[in-house]
Amino acid sequence: MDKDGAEVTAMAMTEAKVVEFPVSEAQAVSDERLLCALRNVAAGNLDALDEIWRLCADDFYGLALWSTGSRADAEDAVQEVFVRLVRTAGRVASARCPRAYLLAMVRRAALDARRRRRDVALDDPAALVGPAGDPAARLDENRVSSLVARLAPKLREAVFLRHFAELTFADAARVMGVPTFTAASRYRLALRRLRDWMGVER
Amino acid sequence: MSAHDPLLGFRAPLAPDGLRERALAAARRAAAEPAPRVSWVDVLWESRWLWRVWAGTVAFLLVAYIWVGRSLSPALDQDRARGDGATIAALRADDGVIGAVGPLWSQERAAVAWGVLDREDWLSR
Repeated sequence: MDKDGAEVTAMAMTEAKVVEFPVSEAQAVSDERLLCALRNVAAGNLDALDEIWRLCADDFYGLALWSTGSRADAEDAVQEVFVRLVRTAGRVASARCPRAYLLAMVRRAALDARRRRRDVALDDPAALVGPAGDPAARLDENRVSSLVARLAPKLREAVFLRHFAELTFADAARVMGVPTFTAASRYRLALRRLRDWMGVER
Repeated sequence: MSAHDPLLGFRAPLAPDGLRERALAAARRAAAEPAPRVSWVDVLWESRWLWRVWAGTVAFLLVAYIWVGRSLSPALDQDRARGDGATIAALRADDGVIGAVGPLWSQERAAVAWGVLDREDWLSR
């Protein structure tokens, strides 16, 4: 989860509420750069699309791939979002969380692709995760991918949005169009299942 | 994240080579073309809220139909047996259960539906 070595978010759930701590400084800077790029695109400067790509492409592709399970559909979804982006950049820039708004666009495009195909089976489970830093993890890469593929699509989305896209539960919930508690529950349920399947102690 | 995190040590898949050129080229082509016209019909069709309102309306009418039917059936059966339409007359007098549901569920319509009032007679009023 931690791309820059700093703890990004922490979460504590009580029976009464979901408590979320603020995102990291690096994430805030990234969001600020994204906002500038979106405003530039809205003003007609298409070179800013490169900056948006650098900031978001991996998250876009990852979410689309975890949602559709198909690399071809995921690529189509990402392309579709960039096409829509040049026409709606101004609206996206005025959103409360532009990154979440863009991820919602990706999710919708991915859902459209999934509906067209009517087959949610993942065509290449090995592509769902990659090793990050620890060479020992490479041994389990295929196993983890196949376990992630066993999760229901809505649970996979919750894990991706929270774990890899590093959204808060509130923003992840907006992306998925569900209440915050539902997003948190899906995330916790998905991790619990992965732990159980992997035999990881809690 | 903790050491018990099952995804610790893994990263999300990266966007493949070639997708960047393809996506950005498509975006630039789209920017050069006039934006497609989107009609209000399309917007409403895509709106999930529209479908929620529609589904809610259908559910309400279904529940109202069943509720009204279950509420009135015994009394209307007695009316039919006696041939006097007393239940309908009472409802008309105090604008009761059926009247509260709305014009579609007016007393006369319900009475015709349950066979208490003669349809031709009702239509001729």
